[in-house]
Amino acid sequence: MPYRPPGELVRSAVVQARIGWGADGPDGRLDSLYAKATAAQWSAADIDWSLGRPLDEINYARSGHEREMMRSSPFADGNAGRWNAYRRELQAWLISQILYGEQGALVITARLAETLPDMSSKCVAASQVSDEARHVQVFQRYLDVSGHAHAPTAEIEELLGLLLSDTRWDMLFIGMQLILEGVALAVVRFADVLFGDPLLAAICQRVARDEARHLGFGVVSLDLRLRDLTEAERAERAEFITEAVALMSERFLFDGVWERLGVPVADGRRYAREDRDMVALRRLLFSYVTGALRRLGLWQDVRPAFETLGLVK
Amino acid sequence: MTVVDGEPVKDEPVRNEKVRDEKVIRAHVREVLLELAPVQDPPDKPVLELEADLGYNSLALLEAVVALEEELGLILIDDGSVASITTVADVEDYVVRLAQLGEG
Repeated sequence: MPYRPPGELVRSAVVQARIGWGADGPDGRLDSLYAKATAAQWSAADIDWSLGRPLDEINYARSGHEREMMRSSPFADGNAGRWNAYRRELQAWLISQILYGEQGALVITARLAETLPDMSSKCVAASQVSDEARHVQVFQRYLDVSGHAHAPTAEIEELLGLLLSDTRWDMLFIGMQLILEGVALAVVRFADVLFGDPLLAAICQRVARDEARHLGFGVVSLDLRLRDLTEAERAERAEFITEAVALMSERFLFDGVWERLGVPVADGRRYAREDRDMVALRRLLFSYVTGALRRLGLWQDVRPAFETLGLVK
Repeated sequence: MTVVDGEPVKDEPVRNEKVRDEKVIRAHVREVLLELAPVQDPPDKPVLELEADLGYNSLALLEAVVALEEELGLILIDDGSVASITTVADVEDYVVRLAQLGEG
C-alpha cells in the first residue's frame, strides 16, 4: 500500500487577483523564460520507469568512500545492513521532502499567476504550475516504486505556512523560487552522484532543467523588484531570508531518518551537525541559494547567518 | 545546467567574458579547487591529485563544481565525461575544453 501522509496544510490570506489588460512584462528576459518553458515541456511517460526497483535492493556501500563513511558512522559502525538502511531512509526522506516542496510550489506559483502585475510574469508562473504538477506526479510515483517515504517535516510546513499567509509576491519569490527551488535544484542536479539510483537520476535530470528555469524566474523577478525597495523593506527581506534559511537548515538535521532507524534523535542530530560529509552535504544543498543571493546583491546582508549555520566555507 | 546572469541555461556551455583566456581559466580553476579543498596544506608538487593530495571526495567535488560554474559561467559534468578526471590539471583541461567549445 503506497504511503500517503495524513493531514492537510490550510492557511488563509487576502490577496489581490489582478489582470492588467495589455500589461507587457517589464523585461524581455521573462518572455524568453516563457518561450524556453513552453519548448521544454515533457511528461511522466518520457521516463523509463522500468529502471525502478525497491530501495531495499540497493547496496549503497559500493565505493571506497561509502565504506569509509560506513566504518566511521556511530550508528552503522561498519555494519553494511545498518548503513544501507540509513542511506535508504536518507534518500527516501530527501525525495519525500522534495515532493512536499513541489506540492507547495504548485500552490504558490498558482498564486503568483493570480497576483503578479504583468502578463509576461503570469505566463511564466502558469508554465511553472504545470511543471510543478508534473514534478508532484513523478516524485510521488518514484516513492511508490521505491517502497519508502517520509512525512513532511515541521519546518517545511512552517515555511510553506508562512508563505501561504503572506500577501507580498516578492516574499513568495524569495521563499519559494530562491530558497525552496534553490535547494531542490541542488538535490536533483546531483542526484546521480548523491543516490546512485538510475530511475531517480533519469527523473532528476529532467526536473533539474525545470528547476533551473524556476530559479532563473525568481532571480529575474527579484532583480527588478529589489531596485524599488526602501532600505527598511530590503532589511525586512534579508530578515525573512535569514529566518527561512534557518528553518530549512534545521530540516536537514534529518530527524525523520533517525526516528525511522531507531537512532536517538539527539545522537543523529549531533552526527548531522558535525560529520564532515553531512556538513558538506548541507553546504551543497544551499549552494544555488547562495549563488542567487550573490547575483541579487543580497549576499552581504545575509552572509553572517549563512556562516553561523555552517552553510558556507 | 546552471543560471547565468539570471538566465537559466541547460544544454550548452555559455560563452562568457571571463572564460576567453586559457590562462585565466586555469588560474580560476586552480584557485577555486585549492580554496575549497578539504586539505588546506597540500604537498608542494607539480601534479596535485584531487583525492590523495587535496582530500576531495564526491561531495566536496560537487561543491567545487557549483563554485566553478558560478565563477566561470559554464556548465560542468552534464555529459558524463568526467570519470577520468583525477588531478587539478585534469579539471583545468576539462574546463578549458568546455570553454573553447562554448566559443566555437
